[in-house]
Amino acid sequence: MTDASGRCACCAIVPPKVLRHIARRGTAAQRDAALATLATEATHRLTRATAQSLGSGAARAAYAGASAAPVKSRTIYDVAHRTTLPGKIVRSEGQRATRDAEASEAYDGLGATFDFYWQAYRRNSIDDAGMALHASVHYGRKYDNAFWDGRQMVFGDGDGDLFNRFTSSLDVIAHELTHGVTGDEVNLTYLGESGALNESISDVFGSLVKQWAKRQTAAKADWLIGAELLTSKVQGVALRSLKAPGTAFDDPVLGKDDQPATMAGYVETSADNGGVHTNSGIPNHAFYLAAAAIGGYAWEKAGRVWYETVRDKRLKPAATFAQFADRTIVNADHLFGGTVKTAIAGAWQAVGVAISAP
Amino acid sequence: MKIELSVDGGFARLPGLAKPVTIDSATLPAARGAALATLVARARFFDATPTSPSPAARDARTYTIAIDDGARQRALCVAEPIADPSMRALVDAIVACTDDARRGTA
Repeated sequence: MTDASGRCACCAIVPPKVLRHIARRGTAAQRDAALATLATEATHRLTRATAQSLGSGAARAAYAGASAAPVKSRTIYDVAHRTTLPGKIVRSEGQRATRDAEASEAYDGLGATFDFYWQAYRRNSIDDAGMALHASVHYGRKYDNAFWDGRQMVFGDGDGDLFNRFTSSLDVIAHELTHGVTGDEVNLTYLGESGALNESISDVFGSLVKQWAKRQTAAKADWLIGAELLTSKVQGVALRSLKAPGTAFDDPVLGKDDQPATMAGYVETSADNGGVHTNSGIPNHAFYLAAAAIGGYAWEKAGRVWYETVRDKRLKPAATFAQFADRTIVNADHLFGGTVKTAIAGAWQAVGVAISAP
Repeated sequence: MKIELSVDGGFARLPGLAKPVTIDSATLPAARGAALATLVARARFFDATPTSPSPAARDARTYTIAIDDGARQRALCVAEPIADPSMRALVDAIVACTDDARRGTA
């Protein structure tokens, strides 16, 4: 029996340990229902804790309505080529699109990412508690970047020579929003290996949102980040490739893609917070290898394991690649059992990350 | 006046764009060189306070600008988002000059 959201109604009272057993041993339908319920459990736990701490009737009423599909709250601002955030509101939730392509792409991209997190993992926005999404477009002049400032997303128009507008790639929007998710969960320190994990998690879920929107399997996906950003003048296909790190571009102005695919190529540097955008190629490639080995839709198993690892309270902000890898293996075992666990362990071994999880 | 710019970080952090680039205002068209000097003065570059990225920011850039105007020398770190409009205008102008230099279109 399922409720309106497709979850198993009886699973609401089943302990997580039993749900995990069902997820591993049950029929396909039982497994899907158990996994959906496990995903929702975290949202309920937070809401329930809040309601209990308040102890009021209003709080309990709010908790009673928490199982309904969440409501998006997006606001897009135009910085008008200045840099004082957030700028002037140009579109709020439910309003019609304007003629501004950047504003429309930001609105739609935030919506797709919100929907992905809810439908794939039952996560209600960045903080799993319905946080409103804010994005500013037309930041600066010919600005070749996008960033998360800790509260909102910011997108430049690109210079039009090498870079198109930074809202043109859905995976870029999802990348920035995922920085908010990671910050809300483990808040991986933005330095060295933990910083590269932080960047990699944003690339992984950036790619997964694009795959989910296109209903692409791991075999069909391009595994590229920022493919739409580069103009035709650039000799390259994207900014990064999870499938083949180090091959995304080789251009006289941009240089050559320097992302390593394995630990043998790990770059020791003081630049870019210890190479967070460079060494992210290693966990990126591990995710690709795991997803490719598992097959099917990458967000369902490999993505689910990565998501649960980001939420894993045993993962620490200063986590190394090896510590993150160990938690993915433990979580894969809990969620899906041997085949997925073996695929993920093999992926980490292939990129040279030493694992110690049994 | 010699200006060196280094850009660190950013979502589109790319090796070719991360290399420091030096420009000499004496080699720029006169109007562009004069405009740079005006922007340096307006931003009070030699007295400005350096800024660091917000601990919660991700993919934001930091600009390191070194200027030698003959009488004074200084290297200054400026992190995004840049709140001061005068400093923002100076950074934009330097980035435009170094982009042209990098692409051979100066």
